[in-house]
Amino acid sequence: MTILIVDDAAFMRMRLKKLLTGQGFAVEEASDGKEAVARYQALNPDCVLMDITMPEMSGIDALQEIRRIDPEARVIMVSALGQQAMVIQAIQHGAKDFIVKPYEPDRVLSALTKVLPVQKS
Amino acid sequence: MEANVEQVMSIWGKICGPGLEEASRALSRMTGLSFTMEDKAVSEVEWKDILDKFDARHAAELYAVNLGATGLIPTRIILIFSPENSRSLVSAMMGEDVPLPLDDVGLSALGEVGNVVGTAFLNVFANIFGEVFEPTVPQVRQGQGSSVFPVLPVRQKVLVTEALFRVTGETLWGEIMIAPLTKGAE
Repeated sequence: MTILIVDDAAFMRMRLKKLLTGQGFAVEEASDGKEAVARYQALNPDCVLMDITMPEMSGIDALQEIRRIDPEARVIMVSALGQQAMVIQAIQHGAKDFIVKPYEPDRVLSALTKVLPVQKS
Repeated sequence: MEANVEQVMSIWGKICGPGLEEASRALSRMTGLSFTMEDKAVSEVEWKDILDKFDARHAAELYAVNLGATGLIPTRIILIFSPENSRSLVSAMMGEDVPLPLDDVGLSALGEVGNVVGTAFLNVFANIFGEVFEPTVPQVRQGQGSSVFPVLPVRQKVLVTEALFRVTGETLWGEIMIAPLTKGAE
């Protein structure tokens, strides 16, 4: 399964990539909302992990654009403490779950388990 | 809730300890390391005195993380570290020794320290006021003396906390500056 990580912070992308590749996921990256939309169209990933606060195009705007392209898109938003209003906005726009930074690795994995389809053996 | 800058500064002064405790927990959660932070000195100064102080240090090389918060009271938070303390902090975050100058990933890791510390402070403050603050994207600057600082009014009141960071057996120093902005100062 392919996960698209969207965060303007290279360090956060590196951390998530290390965690997810260690769990057997294929990982693609984007550093802003605009790039995320383009990468989504090109790659059609199974899930998107997207930061809310980014330059160029915010995570909320990118979420709306991705959901417009693919109404079934699975997007998990990553927010900072204090961004409750934006989290509510993201859920209203179709985000499947949200993670609050700073997060523990298990929280990321449980969110993915929740939104990804169960694989048949 | 209405509040003037003096009241806000007074509250900030009281929450430095709880803010650092919340930041320690958040950094520990994020890295899986044991982070502890404590305030060694808290003072209220004018922005021009900060500029003078940092330029008087023979324009020493510094790393600064600048972030803002919008909401009830727009606020600017600035974290300052020496290059060596930045290197040690980022090395701990990344689990490997990193060289100076910090590369893009290193700068980003330092930005996340600022993000976590800043939002921890804002969270403690927001809980008191019952208001939400929206943090902005942290910006990391490297340079000499006051060149790393944002532009603020010279008479702007700033709360300066000298903070001690303990992580992976190392003790590091940093300065955290909080400036609640008056209207038109942004």
